[in-house]
Order: sequence, then C-alpha cells, then structure tokens
Amino acid sequence: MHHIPIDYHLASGRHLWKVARSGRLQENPPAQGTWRFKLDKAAQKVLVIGGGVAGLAAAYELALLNVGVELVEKADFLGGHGIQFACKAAGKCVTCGACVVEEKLEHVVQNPKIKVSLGTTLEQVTTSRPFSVRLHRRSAYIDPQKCTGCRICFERCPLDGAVARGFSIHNVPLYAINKEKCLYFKDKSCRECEILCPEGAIKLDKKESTYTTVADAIIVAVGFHTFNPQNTPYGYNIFQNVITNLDLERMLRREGIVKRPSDHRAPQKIAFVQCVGSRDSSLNHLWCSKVCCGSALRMARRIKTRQPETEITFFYIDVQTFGRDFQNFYQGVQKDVRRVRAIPGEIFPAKQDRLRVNYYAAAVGKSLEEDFDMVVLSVGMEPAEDTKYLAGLFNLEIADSGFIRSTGHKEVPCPNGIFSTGAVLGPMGIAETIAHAGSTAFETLTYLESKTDSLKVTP
Amino acid sequence: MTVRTLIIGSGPCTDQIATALLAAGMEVCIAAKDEPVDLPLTFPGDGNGYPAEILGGARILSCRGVVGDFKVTLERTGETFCRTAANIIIAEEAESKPNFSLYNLVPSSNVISISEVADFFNTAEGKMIRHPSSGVIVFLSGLVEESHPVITEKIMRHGLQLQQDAGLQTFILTQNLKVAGDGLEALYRETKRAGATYIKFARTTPRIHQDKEGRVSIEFTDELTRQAFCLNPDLTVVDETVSAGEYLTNLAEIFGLDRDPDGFVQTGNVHRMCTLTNRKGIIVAGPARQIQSPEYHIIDAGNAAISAIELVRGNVVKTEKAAEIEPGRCARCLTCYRCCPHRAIALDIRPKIIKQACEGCAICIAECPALAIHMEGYDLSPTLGHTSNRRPRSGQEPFVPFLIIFCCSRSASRARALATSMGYKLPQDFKVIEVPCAGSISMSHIFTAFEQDADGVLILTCHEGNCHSEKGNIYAQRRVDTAIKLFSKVGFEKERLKVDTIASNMGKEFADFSTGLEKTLYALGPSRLKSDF
Repeated sequence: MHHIPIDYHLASGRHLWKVARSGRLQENPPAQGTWRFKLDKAAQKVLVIGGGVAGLAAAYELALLNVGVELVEKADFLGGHGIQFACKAAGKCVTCGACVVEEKLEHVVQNPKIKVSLGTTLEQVTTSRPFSVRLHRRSAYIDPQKCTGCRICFERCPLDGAVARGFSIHNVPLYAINKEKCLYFKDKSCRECEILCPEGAIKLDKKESTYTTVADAIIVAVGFHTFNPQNTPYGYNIFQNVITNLDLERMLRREGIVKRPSDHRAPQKIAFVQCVGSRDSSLNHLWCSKVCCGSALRMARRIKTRQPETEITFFYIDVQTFGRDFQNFYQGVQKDVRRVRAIPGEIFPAKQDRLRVNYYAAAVGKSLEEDFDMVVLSVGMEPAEDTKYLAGLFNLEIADSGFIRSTGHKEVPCPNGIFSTGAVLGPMGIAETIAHAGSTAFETLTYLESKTDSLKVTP
Repeated sequence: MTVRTLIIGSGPCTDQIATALLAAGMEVCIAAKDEPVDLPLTFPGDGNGYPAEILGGARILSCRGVVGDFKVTLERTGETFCRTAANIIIAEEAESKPNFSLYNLVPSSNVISISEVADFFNTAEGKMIRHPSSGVIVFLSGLVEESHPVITEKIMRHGLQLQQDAGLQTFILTQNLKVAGDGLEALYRETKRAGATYIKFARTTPRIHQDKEGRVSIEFTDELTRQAFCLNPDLTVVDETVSAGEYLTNLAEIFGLDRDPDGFVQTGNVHRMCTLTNRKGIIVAGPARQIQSPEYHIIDAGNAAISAIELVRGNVVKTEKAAEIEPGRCARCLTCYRCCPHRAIALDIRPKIIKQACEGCAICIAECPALAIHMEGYDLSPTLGHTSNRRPRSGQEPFVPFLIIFCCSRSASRARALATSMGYKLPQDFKVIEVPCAGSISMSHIFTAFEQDADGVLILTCHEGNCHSEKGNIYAQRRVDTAIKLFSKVGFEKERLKVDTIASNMGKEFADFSTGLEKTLYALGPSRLKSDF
C-alpha cells in the first residue's frame, strides 16, 4: 500500500477531516472506515401513524434497515388515497406512480419487521422518549387469519357498502364491515355475513380494545383530506353526473372505462374543472394542490385511448408542469383535449340528463353556456382531519395553510423524536411523497443512532 | 469488500450525502468536476476524523465492475488514477441555459437572464435602473416552451424583492404560471399584493422587438380585456431551461445508465423511485436526477444515503436467481452484453454474468442466438404438458378456446391475481405462464405454446417505460411482430397471437384483454396447430 500524503485540513469548526490532497493517487487510501451505525437494534421501534403512501414508504425503508416498525392506520385498509388511483397509461406509462403504491403496500405487508395495526387510532402519548403510546383499536370483525377473500360476505350482503372491499389484494383481510351501514349495528336485524362465511371468520359482536405500545421515535404521516365540493356551485351530491377526480380514479380502476353514474352509459362529452378547493383565496386555500393537472390530463388521455369518441374539455387557470418530458406530453394532450382557460361559474341541469356549464369565454368576451354529459371536479388537497389533533398531541407547529410546518432538514432534524412526512406537510404527489418518506426514514435512523451509544464506537 | 462510496458531485446535495454517509461510518470519496471544492462537510459527531477524500477537478473516465466492486478511473490535472467503490452516487450539478434565442433577444446591458439578476443590481447599469424607483422590469417566462416551478419561484422572489426594496414595477409575462411548488401560490399572492402584474397568454403571443441599441419593446393584447398594450422595459429578464448538460450526459454514457429526454441520469421509470437507476449500486440524486428545487436536493440526499447504506448492508432484496452462460456453447457474439439492461455482463476472456448485478430478467436468455444461457426456473421451451384443464376433445363437445397467457411477474401476474380476487369474468379455459420479464419470452415460447394446444396466445407486458428492465416489453413486442409476420407468410391466423400492455393494478384490463382474445378465438375456431385438430 502506498503512503498517501495527507494534510489535515480544518473543514469545520468542530473537527478535523483527513483530506487527501493531490500526490500520487495510484491506489486507494487504506480503508479506515468502520461501521458506526449499528442499526442492529432490533429492539428499536418506530411508530408510524398513517398507512398511506408516506407511511408505507417510511415504514418499508426503516424495516429494510432492520428497525422494528408498528404501522398504525385509522381505516380498515392500507394505502390511503394513493391505492385508489387507476393506472393512467395510454399504451405508454405516464409515470403517475399508482402501481408503485401497490408495490409498496405489498412490500410492507410481507415484511416481518413491520406490524400493521388497522382500524387503530392514537389516544394518548407520553412526551418523552421512549414514548408510551395508548392506541385504540376498533374491532376487527373479520379475522385476518381466517379470511380467504372468497367474496361471499361482499356479494351476499343485502346492503350496498356495508361490506367494504380494499383496493389492493395485499390487504389482509380484503374485506371489512362498515359499521356505519351494517344493519347489525343499526338494529341487530341481520347477521347474514356471519352465518354465510365458510371459514367462520366474521364475528360481529367482537369488542373494541385499547392497548399500549412503546416507541423510540414517531413518524406522523396522516396525509391529506380531499376538499369537499358540496358547497361549491357545481351541484356535487345533487347531480349524479358531477363527480370528483377521486371518484373518476376509482371508477377507472374498477371498471377500466368511464360511465355516467346516472345511467351507466359512456359519456360523449366530459368537462374537467380544475382548482376546485385549490388556489382559492375565498377559502383561504392559498396553495396549488400540485397533482390535479397531472391527474386530470393523464386520465383524459387514458379515456381518449380506450373511448376515443369521447370529447373532453379541460377548464383551468394554469396548466402545471408534472412528470418528466412535460413539454412533449402536453403537446400530445393538446390534440386530444380541448382547453378552456376559465373556471366555470355554475352548473345547472339541462335536458336529456345533461349538465349545463356556464363560463366566461375570454376569446369572445362574454359568458357562454355549454352542455356536458359528465363533469369531473378536480378537488384539491387540504389538511387531514387529524392534523390539528396530532399537532396538539405532539407539539408540532401548524403553518398558516393548516398543514404541519416542515421542520426542514437540519443536522438534528427533530431533537424530540417526532417526525412528520408526506402530504401532512402540504400537497404532494406520489413520487414526492416517497422521496419525503425516504428522507424522513433516514432522519429517524440518524435520530435513533444519536440516542444510542454507537456514536462513541471507533475502530 | 470496500465500504467506500464514490460520490460524483460538487454542490449542497453532495455535501449532504457525504455528511450522512460519514456519520454512518462509511468511507467516502468525492469527485467534484470543478476545483476548488466548497464542501463544508459538517455532521454532529464526537469530533473523531473519518476519512473523506475530496478530489477537486476530477473527471470520470471509465468504470468497470459491478455493485460492491466498482473500479473507476479518474483524471485530474493530466494524471489518471483509479478508485474502487461499493456504490457510486451521481449528484453532479445540472446546467441552466438562458432562453434569449427563444424570445428573439440578444443579451445586452438591459436584457439579462434570471440567474444574472442578483449580480446585475450591483453593477452601474443596475444601480441606474434601480435609482429612479419607477423603472419597469419585464420577466419573460414559459412563453415558447413550458416553464417549471423552480424557475417561477426564482422570478417571483427576485420580482418581489425589486418591487418591495427598490419600488420597481414588475411585469411577468407567461403562458401558464407554474405554482406547483411548495408555497408558490402564497408567494404569487404576495407578489401581487406588492404590485406585480401578471400577464398570461393562452391564444396569442406577445410581439417582442429589440432595437440596435438593445432596447426592448413588447406589444401584446391582453386576453381578458382584449386591449392592446406596449411595454418598454428598462430591464428584460428571460427565463432559463435546466438540462442535464454535457458532463452528466457523459457520466450516463460511462456508467451505462438510461437517461430521460432532458438528458438527466434517470428515466421516468417509476420503479426507480426515487434515487435508483437501471444499475444496482449506482444511485442518482438531486440535480443529476431531474429539475427540482434545492430543498428536494436535500431530500434526495437522505434517500441516496439510505440506498447506499442498504446496499452495503446487503439488506436489499438479493437476486435469487441469476443467469449463467454455458462456456462450451457461447460463441462470444456479445449479444448478451449488448442487451443486458442492468450491465451485469462482464467481458473477460468470454462474457460472464456477474451474479450480484444480475436481476434475473432473462432477456439475455431469450436473445442469445447460441442458446448458451440458462437460469434456474427458466425454460426456453417450456413443457406445458396437457395444460388445458378440459379433457381431450372427442369432437362432439362445443368448442371452447384454450388460451395460454404469458404474464410478466411484475405486472400481469399481479393483475391476474387481482382479477381473480375481484371476481371479474375470465376466459373459460386458460393457463398463465409467469415469466420474470416479458423480454424473456422467446420465439420458442410462442411456438411451443401453439404446439401444445393453445388456440391463442396472449402476451402481457408492462407499459412502455414501466418495465423493471427498461426494455423487456419492447423486446417482447418485437418478437411478437416477427412471429406475426411469419404467421402471415404461412397463412396461420395472426389474430391468435396478441400482445398487450398492463400494470399490476389493472385487474379489470386483465379480464378485458383475455376475454377479448377468447371472443376472437371463438370466431376463428380451433387452431390448426393443435395436436388433436
């Protein structure tokens, strides 16, 4: 081994770095690196709150690094909003990332280092590390160990929606009883599913439970909430054929094609209305939700591929850049989709079960009315319901927008061991969320290491 | 094995990655394209020095080897030398080019690019414009080509400062105002409150003139009020286009990495989220990956560090199966070397597949003209046996077509499981053959399937751009095209062979595609190639 001339160079106020300067660098300097991160603290546990894209990605990264994770999800299924999205490829992948959510979910469910707790909410937490967390678990009426996913409960339930089905088959169980709708919880009048289940996996009188778990760090990843367009002048929940972008995502995922909710026929003319609940000062929503232009235009493109006779109009303020090679994508879209730079004023019912949209057409300088078969409202993201509650519980700062204020990426990012990641910090798409989650996982790891004695370990 | 990571880069992203890896106790070597290198490398530690080798002005010449053992040749001040590394992280800076020519402008004392704004106001001309505090500044952004939130943010921040500090009047001319970045809509409102004027174009474009002295005048019709305006700005600022630049393009070439249309060292392939590339052990982060705000360069740094640590710890899902070349059969034609999307084939005396870099896609097996490559669990002419679940036909029963469906394990196989689980209607009689990647479906597979009683063959691949091995689906498509040509020549119904693209979450489409082919087959009747025809 050659001797490498090294001069000591003050790189920071605190310590010296050995920096090799010029000289004959024919060979590698002698290996001096040692493994400082122990990372074999199997006993270390991180509690991840929220089983959406952010929670799944953070949990998976931590598990890969041998950290134990308990993933707590309020709903009956993992995957949050992301898992409901449809693949928007039109022959070619348009990098919407929907399939990645599916992949992450599968990885999480299969990873032995991750314990998934569904239907679980946070009740109480101690303020110092290790955190003692009291969790409340709704009853799992369907036993995940016994359920085989045979669909009998789902198909034979007399009520629509009382047995819910997850979007990803990696959900265990794939079905859940919706207490709000189920007749048993209303007046105990029906136990059909319980009787029919061939595995005896359903127990409708199972009790709720509370338990306590201990965590060394906590990641808040409760995501976002979609804006409820009920109070907009677009007649959502009044006209059946006014749906949201999320409704359309779910429809495309389940049915492959678009159909009008009122008569299950393919619509001839569809209008997409952007920025419903985003970029709106009257709501004090001073943010762009970032993903809706991409989601709407990609879905429009996909509809055009499968149902080419459909006419699509896109009402917008500004078309936002998304994905790589946006220039090309957008040029392609311009052939398929008519763009109108205006946000419609109102939607009225029109003859033949159509919808009349009025908007100001700058090109002619007056208001116009136009009939459509279906209107898709691109609803924006807003802070999740639980954001405030959790921020209070964990002493996290809330920004003017109502989302949690990002702590930035400092040297010791969260000295108290509470991290937030994903859309709980503000609107972001799947790719961005996964990046955020990975970065948070790394910060968490650094934090866990700083709390152990491993930093003192030298060769 | 070395635990060294070679980081190629010179900006804050590189600094963050190096800091993170040093804190994790890994050895780091940084090759920065320029000298001097300004990397503070601070990390909260106990003060013990850890080896970080910083090579300023070092350019990469070549790279051999695979994950765990890369051998990189570098050049610095005329000297060439070598470094080995377990991982390589590319985080070098991208290039910004001002868009003067897009707007028919030439740079002059009062036509500058957005990056020059900060310095400009320290110059004599800048002070002159600043002084009367009534100067007009026009920003041109995304009028010809689509802009990006990163650029919009720069424009709005500069505009706001000039508006507030110097009392200048700012106009921002654009097509689509890109506010899809953190806090940009709020910033947009703030600039408007401060007095900035935004003029947006959708159907028309402003007419921009520049006289011999370099003065600019801009005429346009406001699309909302439809009134004509003319601006004579004291300063015109044009936006910039960020692209990968020459050095990053070279790096992609040297390391055999797929690039996106803007030349960045990562394709849009969602399976590379967020810092992975087509090669194991080569990570890409920050400015080298795509256009993104500086904040995201730091986020990328965490991800790159985590990927590097995972790789060194060997915790990443290992290749369970790797292909192998049978020495006696190999004709050294190097087809495998050319087609391997993961650069897992090393050229020794004869080509050799390096196990730790192989992803088991089996594209090389299907491509090899000498049939010299094998992999456990992969059969070039699969014995499908009597795969139809129906009894051999007596000739009396009604015809039910038998389909063989080749499914990529990453997409179509999962879509099939989803379709089954959701209870979608599937063909009556079909068999699924799962392949590691659609690119591994050889002509032999297709013919064997027809020989073995299939009335129709459906090949389901990932969508273009979504293949884990980048081009597997394209290979599959190409082979089907060839087979169809052959079928046409010999008069066999080409409709019996179909290829479609699908994603793992497309259960409904799996049902639609397979029942669609079944319908075609009902119309065509039994295949003439069937054993009992």
